[in-house]
Amino acid sequence: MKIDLKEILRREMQKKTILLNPGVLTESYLPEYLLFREDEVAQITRHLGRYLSGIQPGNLLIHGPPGTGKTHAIKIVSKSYNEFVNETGINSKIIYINCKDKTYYQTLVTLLHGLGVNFPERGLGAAEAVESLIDYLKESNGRYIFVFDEIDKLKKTYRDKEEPMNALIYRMSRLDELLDKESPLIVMISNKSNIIEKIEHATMAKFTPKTIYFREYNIEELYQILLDRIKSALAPGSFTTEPVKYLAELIKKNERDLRWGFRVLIEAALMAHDKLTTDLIEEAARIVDNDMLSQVIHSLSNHQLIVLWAVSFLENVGILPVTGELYQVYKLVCEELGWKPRSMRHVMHYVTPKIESLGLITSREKGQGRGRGKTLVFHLEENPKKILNMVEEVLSERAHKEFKPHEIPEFIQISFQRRR
Amino acid sequence: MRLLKDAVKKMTSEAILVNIEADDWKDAVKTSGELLYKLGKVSKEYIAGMIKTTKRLGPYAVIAPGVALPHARPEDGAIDIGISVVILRTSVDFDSPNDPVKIVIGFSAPTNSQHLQLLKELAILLSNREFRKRLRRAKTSENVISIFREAIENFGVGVWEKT
Repeated sequence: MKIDLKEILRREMQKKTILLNPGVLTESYLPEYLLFREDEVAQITRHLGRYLSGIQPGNLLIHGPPGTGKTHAIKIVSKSYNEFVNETGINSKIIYINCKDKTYYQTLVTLLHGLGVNFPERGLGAAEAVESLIDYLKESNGRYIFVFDEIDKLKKTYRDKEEPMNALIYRMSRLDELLDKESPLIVMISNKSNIIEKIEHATMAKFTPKTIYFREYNIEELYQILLDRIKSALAPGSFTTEPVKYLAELIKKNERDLRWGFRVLIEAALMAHDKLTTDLIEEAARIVDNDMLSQVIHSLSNHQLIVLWAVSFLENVGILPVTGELYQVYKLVCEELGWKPRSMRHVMHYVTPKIESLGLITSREKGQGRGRGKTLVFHLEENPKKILNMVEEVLSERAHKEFKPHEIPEFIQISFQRRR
Repeated sequence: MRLLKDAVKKMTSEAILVNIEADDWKDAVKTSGELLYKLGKVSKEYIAGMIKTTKRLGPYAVIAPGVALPHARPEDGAIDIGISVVILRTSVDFDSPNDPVKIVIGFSAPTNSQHLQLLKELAILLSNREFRKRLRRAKTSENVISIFREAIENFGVGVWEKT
């Protein structure tokens, strides 16, 4: 049957929706104010104000869990700061750089470009980039504030001898030694709870930042923030407080954050005919979770997928996924798909930690009895059946042949295992 | 239990060895494969396939405490549906949490669907602790046949909940 694509487009376009202003619920939306973060925002502003007055108040380290408003806080402050210096004619500027997936060199280049320095994106090294930065800062009488967001997500290249995060903090906090004058103010942002421990002593000695911690929101605060955004995003009269309260509770219960909450809201609003309901929120949460899970699973490499499948399979059939048993199943799947298995050392050192870092599995050490050493026990954080289905689909796509373990004798034999 | 029922019905003492010594797990698997070969159920290659699959399966080759279930794929040389039973005098290790192994049950089926079906049926049968216990104590081939037949007849009448 021929599908009228234009008709689908027309219908979707004309569909009655309660979502009037979806932009308010997106990550890129910068609100005018941050509810329940007034103290933190004021603290940052005061710090920058002191710097503006000619005092060097020291560097800043802003940290806290994801979705607690760190980036928005600095962006709100930056906006006012830049407006203020423009109005007053002060030669000062905040340069904001998100370091996620950037190398140390790329971060330096982005900084130079932010300052208006013409520097090639490729071809030169970090030393040349630092040299250019020093030359520029020596020439300039401006007072600069460099903000490095998500510093823990800097990408390490095979050429990097040291951790890029430490290299960046070390270099930035020692600029004064090369400048022979006051150096820019450095603001670093991270959502890692152990960020301070990750900074090397030698680096920390000079960096010595003032730290500002962004705590998690409680249910009432989440509710107030959601309600505040909903008022601008949805049509008047299309919502009551009940589903909003429910969503706030869901965020807390499922250990999610506001970004997740906003995604759920958009999904639920798109499904709603005239009113947002608790049922719609629940359904939307399921869709968003599946969507996010599917994205994570699609981002895994072939061997990571097989290991994830093996953990899910063993959990599903009631066998404890310990190192040896997990590797055995992993090897069987590799053979089945015609892929060369990695060594056990590789799987345990490089493959499982990556899946663990994505929050799909956890591991713990377990003794095997006196004199028999220790093994790792893995645990799946999601429903094993759900993961099995999703991974089997992706593996079939990638192997260009259907991966149907329920038709493979070896896997049936494992699934019928009876242990003492 | 359709396939297993037929196979057990046709089971003869030629498919069984009781009170047999084996040097190691490979020897035990080979013995069960040779029984199938002598009965014309598999080709010589199938025996090598059984050893290979057992190696690939590692700890999972021993499906229940003390019971190994070696088999190869139908394309490795399965000619007909067959079951062989080897009860060892001295247990051997397969490097499995279910060691030591005293019972080795080899099987074959010519098509993939029959192979899977027979594997499932045998797995269900072997999940019964009482059945395994009786098999371990069997003294003669006739004993083994009657234990199998009784188990098949009693299937689904309550005995099977005690796994």
